[in-house]
Amino acid sequence: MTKHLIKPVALRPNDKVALVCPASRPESPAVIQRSIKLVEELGFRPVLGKHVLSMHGHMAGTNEQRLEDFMTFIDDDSVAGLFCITGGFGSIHLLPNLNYSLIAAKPKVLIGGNDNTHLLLAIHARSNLMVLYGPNLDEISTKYTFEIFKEALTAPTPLSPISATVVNDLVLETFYTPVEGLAEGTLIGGNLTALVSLMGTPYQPKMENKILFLEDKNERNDILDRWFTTLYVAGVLEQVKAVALGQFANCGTKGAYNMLSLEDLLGDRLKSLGKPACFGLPIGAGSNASVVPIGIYASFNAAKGCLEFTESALI
Amino acid sequence: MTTICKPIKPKALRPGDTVGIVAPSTPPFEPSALEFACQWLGKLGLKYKIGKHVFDSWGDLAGVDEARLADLHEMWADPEISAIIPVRGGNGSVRLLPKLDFKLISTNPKILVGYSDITGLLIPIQQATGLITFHGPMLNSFFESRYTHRHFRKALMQPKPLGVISDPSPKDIWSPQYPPARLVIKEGVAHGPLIGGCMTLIRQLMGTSFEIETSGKIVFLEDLEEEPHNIDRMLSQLLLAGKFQQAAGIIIADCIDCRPGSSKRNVLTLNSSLEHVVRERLGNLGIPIVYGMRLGHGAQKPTLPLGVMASLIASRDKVDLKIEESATV
Repeated sequence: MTKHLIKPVALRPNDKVALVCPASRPESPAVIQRSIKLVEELGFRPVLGKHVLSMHGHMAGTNEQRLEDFMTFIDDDSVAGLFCITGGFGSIHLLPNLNYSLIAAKPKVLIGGNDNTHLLLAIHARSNLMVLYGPNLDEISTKYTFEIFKEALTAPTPLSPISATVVNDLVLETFYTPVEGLAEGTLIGGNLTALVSLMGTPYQPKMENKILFLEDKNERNDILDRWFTTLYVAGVLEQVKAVALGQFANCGTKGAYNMLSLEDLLGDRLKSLGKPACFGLPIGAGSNASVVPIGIYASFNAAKGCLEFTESALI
Repeated sequence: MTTICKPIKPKALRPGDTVGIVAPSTPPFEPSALEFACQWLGKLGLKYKIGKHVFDSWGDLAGVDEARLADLHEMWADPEISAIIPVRGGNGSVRLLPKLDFKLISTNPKILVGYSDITGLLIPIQQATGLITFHGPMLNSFFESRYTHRHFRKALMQPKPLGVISDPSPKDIWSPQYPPARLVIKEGVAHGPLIGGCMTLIRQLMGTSFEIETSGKIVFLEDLEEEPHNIDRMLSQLLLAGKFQQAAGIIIADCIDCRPGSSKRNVLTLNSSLEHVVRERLGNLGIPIVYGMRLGHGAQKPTLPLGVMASLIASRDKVDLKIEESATV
């Protein structure tokens, strides 16, 4: 039995939007200033979390401070959406203390990426809310991503397809299809390292019959292979309909020339399971970052490297 | 998997016994490294057989999964083999688990010893079959120091309880050590079966049917070249899964090159210290917690049997880890 997915209301010009840091502190106040300008440029009114520049170890304030920022804005009826300013590390600490029923009762547009995967997937699982996996504000670096980002936040209609074949009139360099095939299902996924951090916990996402999308950054291939192996041994790869692999920015062999590529390491099991899969979708860090609506029904064409939507993400 | 298996103890090694050499993860660095290690086996009076695929290579793995698994199965089925010792860790052991023949293992109990990536075999085999497995040096490192060699011999070649595991002698160390040896984060006494290994591997098994069972156990974790925020993530995952709350006691062992910025893998600007992370995440659990015991990737490591009764005493002036039960017959 699946509960009905809650879809937040599409953002309109002049809506109030909260900027938060559930994980690390931004590199500098300049990032905050730029984020505010970016959100104004999108046509919204930004409000800033109290603790976005707080510091506690490698995080933007203590767990309590980051939680307070997040839940205050969730509770505030004048706020229509929450945007993550940056990733880094630390959103996992908020999970046991989030008020999931309040998040479900006051559905807002939530968007973030990389480490904020913990937060988004837990909220999607516990509050049954559609959440947007997209760049953190500090990762929006091109007009292309800016426009995609804007569409994802404001469209009460199905989002444009996410395609590896044509982005800015170019075929993406990393596009590779180990197993051709078509699949349909709802979308689940995010940053691989973060997703695997939820395995074995009460926040482990349900992945049966879904289209799994994965991305990561700054990791060495053998480490990414470890986390992909977790999904293999846990039976997740068998359960999902297809695997859509995004950008693995600044990942690689890190100078170990006898180390296998991700296409080798992940491809062997995708092939043996006959799972439609493609590498190189414009998901994750990079100049072509797309926004993926988690929980939304999509169709996937591995040979074309394309995800298409028939259902709207927002209402 | 929550099946409670009766402990199965392998036979202690005796001079004249044969060791099976396998490479379930990464191949030997070079042929002479293996030859050198085999001479050390000879000094213990042990004979050896080398797996067919030990020198295979598929990138940084010692051949494809089928080849590495075939070697492991062949050694396990061979009645002449008394102990299985991997050449080294690296990456790749967990990839073998879905097709590993646990029945073959439980009906032919043998010594399996290793650490690092081999944790991915030690814990699943111990839990699924009840066989006592050994967290200790591998073929490339059992002779790396006097301390390691002595403990290896004692654990595998004498069918007696190991007793108190004392740290390597600090007599020549004048500079501060990182992490400090045996720092008591929380005092207390724990008693229970010993389980543990490399944190990265323990995380890798989470959510699978082989994930670590910690209830009532003394749990030790160690790692290499992980930034403190990565260790924070792993500890947080294990906490969310309730793994520490159920444990009898916790040892965060030496974490080599886990000082901020010392990982060669990725250096990020996320630099809390490991001691802060350990205190913050585990300090309030109400069970004994010790940080910094030397039993991981350092050059001096004991060989610890997984699955046998142990005790941990953590008090202000001393830390005692004691193996109370014989691990072999």
